[in-house]
Amino acid sequence: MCNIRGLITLNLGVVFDTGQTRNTGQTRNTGQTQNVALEDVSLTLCSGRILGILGESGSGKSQLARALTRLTPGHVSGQVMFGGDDLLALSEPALNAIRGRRIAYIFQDPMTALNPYLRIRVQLAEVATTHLGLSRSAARDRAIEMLDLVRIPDPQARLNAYPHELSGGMRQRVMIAMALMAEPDILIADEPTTALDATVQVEVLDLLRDLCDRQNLAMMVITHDISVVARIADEVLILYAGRMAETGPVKGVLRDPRHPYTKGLIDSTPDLARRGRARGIPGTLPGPDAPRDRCLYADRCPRAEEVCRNMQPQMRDMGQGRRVACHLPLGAP
Amino acid sequence: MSGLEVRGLSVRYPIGGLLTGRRVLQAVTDVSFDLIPGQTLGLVGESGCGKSSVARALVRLAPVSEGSVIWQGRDLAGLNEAQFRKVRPDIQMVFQDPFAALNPRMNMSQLIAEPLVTQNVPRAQIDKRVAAIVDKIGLRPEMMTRYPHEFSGGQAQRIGIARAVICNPRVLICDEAVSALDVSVQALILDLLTALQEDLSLAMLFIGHDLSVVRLICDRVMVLYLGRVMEEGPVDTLFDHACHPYTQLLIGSALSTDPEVERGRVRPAIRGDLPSPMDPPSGCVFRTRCPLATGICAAEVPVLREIGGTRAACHHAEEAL
Repeated sequence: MCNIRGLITLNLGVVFDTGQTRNTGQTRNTGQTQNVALEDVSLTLCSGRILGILGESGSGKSQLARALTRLTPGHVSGQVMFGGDDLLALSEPALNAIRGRRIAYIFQDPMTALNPYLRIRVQLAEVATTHLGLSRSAARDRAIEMLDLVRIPDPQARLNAYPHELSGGMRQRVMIAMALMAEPDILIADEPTTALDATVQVEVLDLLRDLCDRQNLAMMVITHDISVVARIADEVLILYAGRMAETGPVKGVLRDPRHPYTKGLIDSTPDLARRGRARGIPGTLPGPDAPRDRCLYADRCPRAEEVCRNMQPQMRDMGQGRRVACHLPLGAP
Repeated sequence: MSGLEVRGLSVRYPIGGLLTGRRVLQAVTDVSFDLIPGQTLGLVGESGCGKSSVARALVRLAPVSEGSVIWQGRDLAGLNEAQFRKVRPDIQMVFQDPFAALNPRMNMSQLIAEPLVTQNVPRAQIDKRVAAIVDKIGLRPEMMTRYPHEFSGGQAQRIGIARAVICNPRVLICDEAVSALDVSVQALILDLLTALQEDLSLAMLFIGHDLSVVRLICDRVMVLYLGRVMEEGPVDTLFDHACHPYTQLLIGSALSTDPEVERGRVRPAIRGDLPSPMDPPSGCVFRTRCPLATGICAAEVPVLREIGGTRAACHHAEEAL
């Protein structure tokens, strides 16, 4: 995705076992079946770059974040190449040395991710003592340094606060500080600003962009919101029903989409800067037991033809770093 | 064409208890507006600004501590429970999370019929009206026996809307009714609400945190901050010529989907966090975060006054404009 050598490269699939299949409205046990959550998703993360993962509910975007370090209960197939190792082949202890240390996470709701019984100081220091083996006083110094880095005013005083004493924006900054405590190479942010008010959202997004540049982090930002991608990401990957629909540099993809779903998403999103009605996408996501040997978007797609219902479109190169999985892409001759 | 008139509405919640002593949270202070048939008023503001409290007070889910809610010549706040029950079908509400708002043990036809059952409508009529509404709302009759977990978010919200409009209400309150939906579905639900409004000549109160959605669907917009009205006016005037610094800040914080627009655009910085509603600042409640604040802002509560094409409560609105 970027010209410099990627820090982490992966190709993933995730399936969940389901004990039963539904048949003519009755549930009967027919042994093992599998629901596909993610299928053949490949991407590369590079230092100093932000990859935005864009998708609606059911797109598999959160599964992607979790599958990367085997945090999902589903079966993960494929490979995640990082520092010469395949993370999917590592033992649990070896992977634990990477989770939180080299690859850190930020989740949507900071209130549920922070322990309400412990002061911020304790929760931050734990990361440094666990992963870096720092002494208590060194961990405390590092905590202050990190709170300062995420622009929390008066960090010394905030160290003694409990999570409920902080505002939503402050709590998310604490989460970011905590993720950065162990000096990770990769930061995965799953809907990092969805729970925040608009005024605070912009600040947190700009903070993430700034940290990515200054700390040379490789970042993956997972979101349902196109404007989040527009604001901070370099490249974007659009997921639909667990498959890649389109990927490429943000400016190209969002200004001149090739996949009809990407265009549908953009046209659905109201924008203060772009007047006119928002058009939705009729229809719903195919169910987990729908046939997958076809384009999964075909039933909602205004361009769909026979081929779309008969054959699964493969990702193909469109030039300028862009790839799209569509039989009849927009703007093609 | 008379609508719903809200005058000087205040909402207070008693909080605290044995150890902390009883205190009062002033959620809404002196809010007035009209809901006019066929028109939509948008209520915007950050979390904790009191927008849901306003909505809930209209249907007695929150206390009307002061002020009046005038509907067809009567003050709803003065009615007893039995009297209020009679007017309740006129004023209906759609909630944010359809899965939380729908009873998981009831199927679609039961869910949509429930408001009519509550109103003691004869059974024969109920089935007819349910069938009619299902068609209007964009659902299919064969879904009647399905339960909430078998629906997508958009379909579930259509059921929520069907429940709200089946008693032929005059006023519809949408409290973040599209916020939990995917954008591809959100636009379709907005279209549905607009169509229903035209069809039934509904007076709508639309509460939302997404300004671009509010701009699409509303005729007038009211901006709340810490329970007080900051600015109010016609939708285009308010978005294009906002004169309250808080409104300007909110509009400046709304992101665009166009990366060209977003890159390099410097966002207005807002100072500090929302103050505690338990201990709001003196004078203008926004002054602690306002770039224009001066001495008078701490001393005097600004009154809502006509400036430009909107009404704003700000001592420095002329400078801001």
